[in-house]
Amino acid sequence: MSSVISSGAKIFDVIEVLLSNPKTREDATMLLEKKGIKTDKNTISKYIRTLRQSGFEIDTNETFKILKTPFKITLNKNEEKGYYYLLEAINSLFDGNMKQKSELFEKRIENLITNKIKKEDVKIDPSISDKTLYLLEENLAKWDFVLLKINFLGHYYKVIPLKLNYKTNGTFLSCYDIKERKNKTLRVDLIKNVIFVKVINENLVNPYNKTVFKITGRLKKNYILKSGEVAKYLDDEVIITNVYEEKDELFDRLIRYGKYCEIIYPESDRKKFKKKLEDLIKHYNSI
Amino acid sequence: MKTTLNEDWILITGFRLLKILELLNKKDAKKSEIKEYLKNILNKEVSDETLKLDINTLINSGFEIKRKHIDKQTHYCLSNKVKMFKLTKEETFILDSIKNASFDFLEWKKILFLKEFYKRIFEFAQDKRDLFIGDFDFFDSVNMGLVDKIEEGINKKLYCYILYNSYNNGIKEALVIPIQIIIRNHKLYMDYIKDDSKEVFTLRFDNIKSAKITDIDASLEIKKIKKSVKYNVKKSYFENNPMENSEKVLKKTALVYEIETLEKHDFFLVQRLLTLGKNCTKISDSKIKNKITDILKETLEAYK
Repeated sequence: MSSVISSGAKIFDVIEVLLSNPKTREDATMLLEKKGIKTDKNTISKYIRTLRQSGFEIDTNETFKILKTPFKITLNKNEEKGYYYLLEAINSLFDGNMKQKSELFEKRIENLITNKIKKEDVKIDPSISDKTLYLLEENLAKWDFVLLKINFLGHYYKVIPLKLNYKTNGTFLSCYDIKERKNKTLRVDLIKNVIFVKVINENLVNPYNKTVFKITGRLKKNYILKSGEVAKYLDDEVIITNVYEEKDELFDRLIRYGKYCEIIYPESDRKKFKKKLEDLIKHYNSI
Repeated sequence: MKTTLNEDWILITGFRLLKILELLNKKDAKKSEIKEYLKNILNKEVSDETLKLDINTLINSGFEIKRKHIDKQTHYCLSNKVKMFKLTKEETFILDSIKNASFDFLEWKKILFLKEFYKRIFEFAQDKRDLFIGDFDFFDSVNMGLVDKIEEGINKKLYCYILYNSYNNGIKEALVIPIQIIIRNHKLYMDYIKDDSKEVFTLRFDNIKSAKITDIDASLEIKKIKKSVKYNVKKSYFENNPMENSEKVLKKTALVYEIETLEKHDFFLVQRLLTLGKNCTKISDSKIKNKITDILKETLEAYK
């Protein structure tokens, strides 16, 4: 085997650890030790200085984070256009905390690519501005179930945020009201205050209020599962269990699928749905 | 004056390895070129033996460096570009959020370019499970040349011959008038009318196999298309429910909004009206109204 300089190659182990984005300096040190790298202050400083001298920009405040790399990429024309539209979306959609975070993210991307896109040239699309003031809620909803206390039109509600719906006339928060045990859709611009309460156990969400329905025909292939739905795929149909969606909201949605959707459990939901269908036939005949 | 880098200050070997890698990441380089490059940075000569060791070390560390002998000179080339950058979980989440919101807000053309950027940046996600780019998968199955052609047909208001995959009848040919390209449920559709019908049909782009623009003017037929359907919706409904992108308020009264929809396809319009249920208090188009009651009656059969 050809000769190699193993001490020099350790720099790549250091880079690998830094690229794993350790949360704290202690985490980083532990990972370095696992790779057999000395972690005394002098050695670490020497590695960091070597990387900086080589063109890396490293944040050493709370942990060791590579902010800038000398190994850049060049976006092709289409990718560059895509990046422009991403910046347009950031400018138009984000506000507050999320805006700050995305600006840090933009800086990191700027340090990765050789393409130069002038920030001032990126427009704000007026049709989508002021729409997502509370992407933070979506953030929380995505990783864990969290409990929020929100002030909506003067009343405080404890809710689990589920999804933000962006529509041309405003942003709407779909959430589960923990007290009333039902889903709600609230206009985000009418929410005055949001207080994070805690991360909660998924079991706190009432699991007994489920509705089971089947989807058949061509819709079977195209049905997109909603948050909190579980599907069982059979030859001719898909059986879907829906736990979180508020019944009226769910029925309004299922009615759109026409004969390709049938509620199969519980019987009480079947009856309610049947009544709804009969009422609507009367209603549409009368208008 | 340049100073020699202090070996106590930095790890010279590690530094040299990174600099060689940086040069090879930009371009293939001759041995003499690398030596000259290092000499300029280190302010001292690097021997052939040291360079050989460095290259072996890089190869041993997993970098694919190939040696080529051209005109009695050794050339080095790096097969795969170096990726020394990783997006954190939080940054990946930001990307994912923007993607989700963009599907609701950005016009279809912008989404196509956004897809290109996401595909490139995806490789840098620390944990690829955090960034779901499957939303863009549909667009990979679409022939973009075809989209451009259809768009040209729409802009010029011309008839097009299309070959498409029909759900019930296999591959079919049709003479159509394309009227708009639209994203529904993260998929790209063409709305069109057939020569002998005023009704608007829709086709998912992955089902269109080919298209040919004719020189037959379709302006007159396009003028005849039902421009919109009007319906009334209780004002209270919109207090906590969103309006569709295609809906425009024509008139507001204390109790009711008069809405005009730009949705040209009956199927999607009927779906919307079914969702509105009793909140819809008037529909201007009786044909649509009949379609709704037919669907409701069909659905009711399963519960008898």
